[in-house]
Formats: sequence, structure tokens, C-alpha cells
Amino acid sequence: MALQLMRFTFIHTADWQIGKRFGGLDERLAGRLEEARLDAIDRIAQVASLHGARHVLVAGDVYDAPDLKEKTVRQPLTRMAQHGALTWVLLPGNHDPAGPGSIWSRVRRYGVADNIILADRPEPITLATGVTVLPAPLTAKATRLDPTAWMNEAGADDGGLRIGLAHGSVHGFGSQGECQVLVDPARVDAARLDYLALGDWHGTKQISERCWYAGTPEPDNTTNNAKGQVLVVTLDRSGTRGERTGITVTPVASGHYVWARVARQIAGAADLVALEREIAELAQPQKRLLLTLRLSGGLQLCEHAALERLRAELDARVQHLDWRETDVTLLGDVDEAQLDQLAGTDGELRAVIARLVELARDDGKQHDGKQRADGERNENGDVGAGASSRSRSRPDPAVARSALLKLLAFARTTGEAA
Amino acid sequence: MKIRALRLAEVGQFRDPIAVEGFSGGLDVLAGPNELGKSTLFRAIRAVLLTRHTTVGRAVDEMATRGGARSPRIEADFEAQGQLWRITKTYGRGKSAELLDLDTGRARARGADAEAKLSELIGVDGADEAAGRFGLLFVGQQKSLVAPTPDGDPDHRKFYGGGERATLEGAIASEVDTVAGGARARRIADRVMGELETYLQPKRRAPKKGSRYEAALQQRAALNVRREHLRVEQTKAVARLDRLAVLMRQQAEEASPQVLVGFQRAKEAAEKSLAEGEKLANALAQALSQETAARLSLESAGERLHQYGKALDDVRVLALETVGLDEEEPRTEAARQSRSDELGQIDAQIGALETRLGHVAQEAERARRAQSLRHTIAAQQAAHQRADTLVREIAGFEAAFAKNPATPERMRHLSEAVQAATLATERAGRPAGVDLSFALEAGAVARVRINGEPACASGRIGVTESVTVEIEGIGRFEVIPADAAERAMRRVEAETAQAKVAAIEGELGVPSGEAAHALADQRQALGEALMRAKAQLQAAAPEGVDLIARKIAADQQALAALESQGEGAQELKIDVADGEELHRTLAAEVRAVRMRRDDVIKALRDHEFAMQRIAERRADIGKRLAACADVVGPEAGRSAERDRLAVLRDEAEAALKSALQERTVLSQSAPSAEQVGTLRATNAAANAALRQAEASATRLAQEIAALEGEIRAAGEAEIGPEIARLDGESAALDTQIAHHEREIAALELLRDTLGAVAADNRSRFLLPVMTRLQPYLAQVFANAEVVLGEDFALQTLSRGGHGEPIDLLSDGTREQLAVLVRLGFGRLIADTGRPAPVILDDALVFSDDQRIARMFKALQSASQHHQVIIFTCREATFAPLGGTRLKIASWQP
Repeated sequence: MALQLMRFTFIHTADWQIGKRFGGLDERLAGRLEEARLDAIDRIAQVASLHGARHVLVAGDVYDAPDLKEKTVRQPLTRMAQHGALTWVLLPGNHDPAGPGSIWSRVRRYGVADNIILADRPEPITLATGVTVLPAPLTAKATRLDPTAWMNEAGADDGGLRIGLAHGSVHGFGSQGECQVLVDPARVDAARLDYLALGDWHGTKQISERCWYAGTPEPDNTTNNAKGQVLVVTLDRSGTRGERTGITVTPVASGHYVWARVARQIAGAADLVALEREIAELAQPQKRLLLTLRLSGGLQLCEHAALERLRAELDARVQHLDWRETDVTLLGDVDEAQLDQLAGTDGELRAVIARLVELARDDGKQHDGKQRADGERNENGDVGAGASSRSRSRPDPAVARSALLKLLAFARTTGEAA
Repeated sequence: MKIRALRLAEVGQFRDPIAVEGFSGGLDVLAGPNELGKSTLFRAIRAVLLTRHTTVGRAVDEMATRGGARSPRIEADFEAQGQLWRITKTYGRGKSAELLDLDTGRARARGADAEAKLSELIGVDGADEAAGRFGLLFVGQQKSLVAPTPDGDPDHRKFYGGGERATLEGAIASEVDTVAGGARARRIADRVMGELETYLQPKRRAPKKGSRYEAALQQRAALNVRREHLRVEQTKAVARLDRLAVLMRQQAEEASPQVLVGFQRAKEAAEKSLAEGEKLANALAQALSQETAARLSLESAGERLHQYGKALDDVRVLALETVGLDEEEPRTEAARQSRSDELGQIDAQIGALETRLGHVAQEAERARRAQSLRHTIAAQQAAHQRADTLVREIAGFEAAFAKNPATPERMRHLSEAVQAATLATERAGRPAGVDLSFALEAGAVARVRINGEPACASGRIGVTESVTVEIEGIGRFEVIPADAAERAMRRVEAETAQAKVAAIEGELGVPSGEAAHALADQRQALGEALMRAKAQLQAAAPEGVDLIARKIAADQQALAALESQGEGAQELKIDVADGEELHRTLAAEVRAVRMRRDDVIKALRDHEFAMQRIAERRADIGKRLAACADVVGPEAGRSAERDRLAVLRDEAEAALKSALQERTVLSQSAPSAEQVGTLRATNAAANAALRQAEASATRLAQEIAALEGEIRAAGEAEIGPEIARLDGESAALDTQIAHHEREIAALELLRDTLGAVAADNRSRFLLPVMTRLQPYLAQVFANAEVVLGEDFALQTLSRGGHGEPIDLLSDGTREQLAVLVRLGFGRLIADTGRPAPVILDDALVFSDDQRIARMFKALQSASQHHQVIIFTCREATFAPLGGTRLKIASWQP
């Protein structure tokens, strides 16, 4: 058996999930996010062009669901067809399994361009001279069988490059993909693969030297893993017998939007400043940033206004802001001077402010209404008691803080501003 | 300030001047009937204190007496700031005002000055209608049900600045140091309520219709429904795909063309095997059939030969039997004939015996009848004789009875007479007593003579017969006791009765009563004997004696006839006993002959039956011989025929042997029936398998086509992405709703905190009023508390921890509370050092006796601290109140 000398570079990507819908977001934003997933195909083509790759292996979940509309099915095919210099190999995953009645049946019916190969059968595909791709397409959402098992005996042992293409969870490695298909991480050696391109895990992840998850090329949530990348894989066969093929795997950014989740403990205005700086560094321009922010800690009463201002500014600056600061408590007491400033000569107002300040201080005691303030209702359909006076135990300090802030806002706008 | 006197002229109904003097300044009561003018007085007090003398228009017109000079005049003596004053106001024409210092007797001010000074003295601000404390404490008629609302007119829902609230607040301010302000807090509270109402319904803690909150809740609910529906659809879609995969796998395994070809070949092989097997089986069956036919032929030939031989034997036997019958028949006939003759003889014998038997029976019967008649005649004759005797006896009894005079009537009369005589005699012998008692006057003794004897001055004389009393110059009196006359009459009566008794005895012909009774007894005995005789005659001759005689004559004639009959039949003249014996003998003989007859008849029948059998047998033999003749034919050819039949049998035997050999050969190669059955079953199974495979293929194809159709139809539903989108929407809605509910909680907390602070403030503010009111309240309502609003208006009454809105209380209770609150105000004002009187004009009209008694206690308590003036038309009810009773008197201005 003669070893073939070659250097082969290709793009490994996966989990495009074309057709994914983004609920809970502004409709226009959701549309932009969906469009970004299609645009990722163009960015992948750019990366391929930049790195001299002529083949793109998509390791499963090209589509998000098997029952997408025709337009949605055709859109990525059209984009790929527009990059005719590239050959795209598409593997069915758990979101788009092959088989009778599958989305791939429809794709075949629609017809695909010549530069698109549907790897929907477990048969070797000659990608290029001396390069064989062994696809392990999924035909169901879940299966107990390792779809890569056939690779051991597959393909001619002609000294060419053997690249496995599969979608599933590598068992024993602690990865937590969503696919209920287990792939043996030892497949690389058992099937004499030079590389095993995996899909399912949405973050780029190295399993072994020759086994990687590419991750999704366009992020789609705030789970903290490396998303928005493709892998440029170069296999280098020098021809020396006994030596394994050289391999270089380079992650390259391909995503447009940045999804970030930040949780911080704040204790004062300085922390707010630092937080703002940190957020600015997450993405530039900031309009590419979808930010989930969870704050806890405590601020003085006067510093809460700064918190409100930060929220308003971020809301205007980033693409999408999911803000929660209900765990930020009120620190310190309000002295007489502050009360004078806040309430003026209105004794009743002073008394109300003092009471709310006391209630807003989190003393660690159990309080009522916290659960029900989050949306629970009684059997009459009435709203949760929250921190109402009907509650016998202490109200939620967060509710008390909100009440206090509202009071101050009302006091300012009733004509006798503090 | 205390009112001490009030005087009116040309005010209301008081055209003529009146005065009410002598107010004590404590509890002053003016009780009187309706239209006394109490309300006029009440209004006059108010006017003289609060209405300026320069007032014109309706206020004055209403005050003035109708038809008068329209110049009402009111004067009030009052005590204020430690001095006595008099204010006199005239309204209308000649309006004036004068304030007089009663201690010095000098006028202190006039006109406007007087008004100003008056206002200063009584503590009002001097403005018109600025009633201040007086407005709080004066309760007009029909206003008792209205709780005081300082500066407010609840009836007309309007408020005016009467200074009442200021008065209270001033009084309170001197006691408590309340939290100032609250206006901003109230404005903020209004804003909070306004914001809350954008989330919640005002009366119920439910989302407000049309609010963002409600919209979010509804949206989430609808979303959940849709998501659930899509999940179901998704499950169906997945199931369809799974099912499609299963069907296609099944199609490949069970219904592919190769599989169908296999079934077809199996079917053909099975058919071929079956055809061959059946062919061999048929040949075997045919061989068996031939063997059977040969066997039957052999049996038939053998049977014919056997039958022929048997027929020949039968002919021989029958001929012999015929000879036997020929010998038996005449013998049997002779026996039969003998029996028949014997029977005839017996019948003749029986006839003769029966004839004789009849004769004997007749004769016996005749003898019996004659004997019977004789007996009857004898009995009748005896009866006749007896009856004759009785007739004679009866006649004798009747005569004696008739002769006996002691009839029951007479005897009764006699008894009555005897009884009467006895009574009369007894009465006649009973003495009667009459006493004559006398007492003579002096000088009369000589003039009276009793029974001719000079009487004594006094005495008592028993008169049994008669007493003669002579009185000189007067006359002669004879005292005859009635008894004597009576006795005489009795004696007469007794004699009469005795005479009557004697007469009756005379009628009876007896000398005495005993003899009369004996006679009566005799009569009775005769009567009884007569009755017995008649009864015996009735028994002996119920139908009469003559009838007996006639019967005797008839029976004698019958007997004679019977006896004459017997004389013509001497040979049978027998008596009854002989006749019976002879009859029995003859009857026995007849029975014996009859038994013998039966035996002969039986034997005759046996012989006849034997003859019949012989005849039948002959007929049978004839038939059988005829049948045998058909079989065996004429006698000449019988032997040759038997030989021929033997040859035929031999031939049939040979044929059978041949068929048997052929069958044996075939049975070795042909399949058994069971094997043919197995081949058929195999063929049927192969056919069924092929049909099933074809049907399965068709079904699978149809099902796959249908599923593919369904999948195509649902192909672009984008369920998964839609569910993912809805999941995201749901999460966003959850966040939104949580935000709204946090807002609601914050607003409610703010509302409640504002309310709590305001309530605390209010409680402190109202404390002085409540402190004064509570003792009065306790006197009337046990364990009660009231809640006042910040406008001092009554809101609720709590008793036993249960609060009731004022509006829902009874009229009586409201009225009582209204008065008590005024007493509380009065006490509070009094404690400021400037008391004012509480004036009640016909209040407590709805109160019951128990409550009114308690209210009296409260009024009495209040009067310790300030003046309380009561106007009432219920004199009797208010009598227990006590206090100073006021009167309206004339006034000479």
C-alpha cells in the first residue's frame, strides 16, 4: 500500500441549524439573528478562501428541524451554490435526520447544485484524489447504535486520507451535547481516521488531537462556550512510513453577533463603572452584543439612580439587554439630612421613606411574596401578595427597594423636588 | 359660655313676647307638646349668637312672625369669660344690636361693635355663618340622625368653611404634636393608586382589563395552549416519521419483489406435488372400486346359488306341511261342532232356570206385602183405640175445667181484694194523734168549756175522737181529728174491702181464701191434664182419628186382594221365608250353569281359532309355493339351473382375485389420504402465503403512500422551530409578567406604607376627640369603639371587634352616636377653657327606653362640664333625665 503524499486543507463546521427561530426577542432582532445564520455561510466561504480550503464539511444539523418551509430549505442551498468554488459536504444530524420523509428527501427532490454533496448514506465519499470522507448520517433523533461503527471496515485501504464525519455525543468525555447518539472517541484509531469531524456541541471543543467539535459558526445563546467559529483543518502527509499524518486545526471566528452572559456582584458606584468598561470590551461595535446581565450585591440609596442610568444606557447601546438587578439590596441608613433632602417638610413623607428604607434593608430574615411576586397567582386569579400589607411576615427587601425608588421618583415629580 | 335666659318678640310663632328664664347653665330641659315653639327657640338662640343684626332677606323673613311687623327681636342673657352679658338684636326694620354687661348694667357695645364683641366673647370668627364651635354642638330638629361633619353638609354633599373644623383642630392642636404635612404624601398616594389601577382592577386584586399586565398574562396563556398543541403535533410528526421508517423496513423484509417471487415458486412446487399425488391416489381409488365390484359380483353369484338351493328345500318342506294340515283340519272341525252343540244345551237350561227364578221371586214378594199389611192394620187399630180414649178424657177434663170457677181473673181479684181489705183493716186500726194546746187570757177561763168542762188557763189535750170547745159569747167548736173521720172512713173502707172479698169467695163458692186457692190449684191441675191429653192425642193421631179409621179400611181391602191372588197359584204358594230360600237355591244353580257355559264357550273359541290358523297356514303355504315356483321354475330344468349358477359363482371369484392383485400394486406407490391431505394443505398454505405477501405488499405500499402524504401535508409546518420560538416567547413573557408583578408589589407596598403612616398620624390627631368621646360611648354601648375619619366624620362603630359602617346602623343607634360625638366635641371644646352649650332640639326620637336611659346618663355626665340644653316634645320620656325644667312665660320688653 503506497502512502500518498499530500496536504489537504478543509473547513470543519457544524450545527448551522438554519431555520432556528428566536422567540422572546423583538421580532426584528429575531429576523436579524436568523439572517445572520445564513450569512454565516458567506463568512465560512470567506474563511475557506482565506485559508486555501476548497472543501467544507458540515458535521450535521444543517437545518434546525425536518419540517421547514421550502424557502427555508432552499436558502442555504442557494448560498452554497453561489460559492461554486467550494464543495460542501452536508451530513444529516439529529435535528435533520435522513430517511424516508426526511428533509433530505425534499432536498433531493428540489435538487442541489453540483458543488453540494449530500452525505445521507453511510458510504465512502471520494472528496478528492486520495481523500475519502466516511460519513455517519443519522436517520433518527436518537439511536443506541454508534453510527460511526461502520467506518472501521469501510473504504479502501489505499493509503489515502480518511476523514470521518459524524454527529453525536462523545461518551466518556463529559461533553453535554443535546444529541442522544453516542460516538466512540476511539473511532479515530479503530477506523484509521486521519481526522474525525464532529457536530452537536455548539462550542468549539477539542476531544483529541484528531477529533474536534467545530461548534456553530454563528452563536445562538449565551451559554459560555466558544461559539461563532469554524475550524481550518490541514492534514499533512509527508510520506514517511509509520508516521501519522500531520494535523493542524485552527479555530477562526465566523460569527457576527456576540452573546454574552455577565453576572457581577456590585458594592458601589465604582463597581458600576468597572462593569460598564467590561461590557464595552465584550463586543465592538456594541450593537453586535446580546447581553444577559445579572447583578447582585448592595448599593446606597443615592447610588441606585446611577444603576438606573446604567441600565437605560446599556439598553440603548447593545443589541439586546436582559437585565436583572432584583438581588441588589439597599445599604446603609438614611440620615436626617438625606430625609430633609428627600421629603422636605412633609412629615408623613419622611415617615414613609424611613419605613421603606428599613424594609429595603435585607436582614436575611425570611420574607413573604418573593415567589409570588414572580408571577404566581391565587385560585381567584388575583395577583401574588408580594409585599402587600396583608402579608404578615416581612416583605421582600427587593420589593421594598423598588417601592422606595418609586416613592422618590414620585416625590420628585410632585412639584417639591428633593 | 352658658345661656341664662332667652327672650323673643315677633319671632316665629311668638307674635307676643315670650321669655324662657332660669337656665341653670348645666342640664336645662324645655319639655312641651308639639308647636310649643321649641324649634323657634332653638333657631333664636342660634340667630342671636351667630346671625348679625344687619342680616336681611330670607334669613330674617323666615325668622319673623308672619303678618307681623317683620322686626323680630331676640334677647339672650349669657355667661362668658366669667361675666354675665345680655345681647339684644332686632332684625329687619329697626335693626339693632346691643351688648349689655349685666354685672354693671351698662351697655358695652352697640351695632357692629356689639356683634364684634359678642363674637369675641363666644369665640367665633365673626363671619356670617361662621358657626365654629356652635355649629358643631347645636343639633336642630330632624338633624339628630346626621353625624356631625365639621364644615360639611353631608345632606347636600357640600362643604363650607364654617370654622368648625378649625375649632376642632385648634382644640386638638393644643394637645397633640402631630406630624405636619401629609399633603405631598396624599398626592403621592393618589399617584400610586393611579399607577396601581393601570395594573389591577380597583376592587379586586385581579389584572385590569386592557392592561399590559393582563395582556401579558393572556398572551402567555394563549402561548402555552399553542405550544402544547404544537408539541402534540410534533409528537405526531415524529411518530409519523418513525412509523414510515418501520414500514419501509417492513416492506423491504416482507414485501420486496424477491420475496414475492419466492412465494410464487413455492406455490408452483406445491401445486405440482399435489397434482401427482392426486393422480396416484385416484388410480388407487379406482382399483379399490373395481375390487369392490368384483367382490360384490362374487357375493351376488354365491347368493343366487344359495337362494336357488334354499328355494328347492322350501318347496319340499311346504309340501310335507300341507299333508299335515289335511289331517288336522277335520279333527279340529269336529271338536268345534261338539262344543257348539253343548253350548246350545246349556243356554236352554239357563233359560228354564231363570224363568222359575222369576216366578219364585214374585210369590215371595206377594207374601211379604201381605204380612206387612197385616202389621200395619194392627198398629193402626191400636192407635185408633188410643185416640178414642184420649178424646173422651179430654172432653172430661174440659168439662171439669169449665166448671171450676177459680179462674185466674177471679183469683187475681180475690187476691187484690184480700190485700186491700188487709190494708184497709190495718189503717182502720191505726190510731192518729191530735193535740189541742191552749192558753187562755185572764178572765177568759170562765168563758171556755172543753167538752163541757171549764177549761183551765192553759193546757194540752190529746184528741183522739173529738173535743168540743165552747166559748161563751163566741160559739162552739168541735175539734174532730181528721184521724177520726179518717178512721171512720177507714173502717168503712175496710168493711167494704172485706165485703168484696166475701163476694168473690161467694162467686167461687168457697168459704175461705184457702178453699179458693185449693179450687184454683184444682183448676190448674185440670188444665195441665187437659194439655197432656191433647198432646198425646196429637201424637197418636196427628191427622185426626177419622183418618186412622180410613187407613185401616184401605189396608184391609189391600190385604184381601193380595190373599185372593195367592189362591190362584197354589203350586207356588209359599211364605216369605220359604220363598227366599228357594230363590237363593235357584240363583246358585243358575250361576253354576253359567260358569259351565263360559268354559264351553272358551273351548269353542279355541277350536275356531285353530281352524282359522289352519286356513291361514294353507294360504301362506300356497303363496310360498307360488314364490318358490318363480325362483326354481319348472321342475324339469331345476338341476341344470343350479349347475349354471355354480359356474357363474366361480367366474366371479376369479375376477375378484385379479382386481385384488391390481389394487395391491397401486397401494404401494400411491400416497395415502393423509398424505394427499398434507399436500393439499401445503398447497393451500403456499397460496395463502403468496396472497398474504401480496396483500401485505399492497397494504404497506398504501400505508407508506398515505404516511408520505401526511408528512408532505405537514411537511413545512416548522413545528420544532415554532416550539423553540414559543419557548423563547414564554420565557420573555414570564420575565415581563414577573416585572409587572414586582411593580405591583412595590406599588402596593408603597400604598400600604403611605396608608399606614397616614393612619398613624390620623390616630394621633383624633386621640383628643376619642378620649372625650369614649367615656360617653361606654355609658351607652358596651365594649364599643368608633372610628372617625380625618374629617371627623363617623365611619364605623365596632362592637365586640366587629365593625359596622355607620350607614348600616339603625336610626336609633345613629342618632345616639351623633349626640355622643357632639358631647365629645363639647367636652373637648370645654377643655380648652371656652365651653359652649350643646343644644339638642328633639333629638333621640328613635331611641328605645333602655338606650335613652343610658343616653340620659351621658347627658348628665356632659352637663358637668358644659351646658346641655334639651328641647323635647316627649315630656314623660324625658322626665327621668332630671335637670332644670324651663318654661315659656310672657315677657314684657
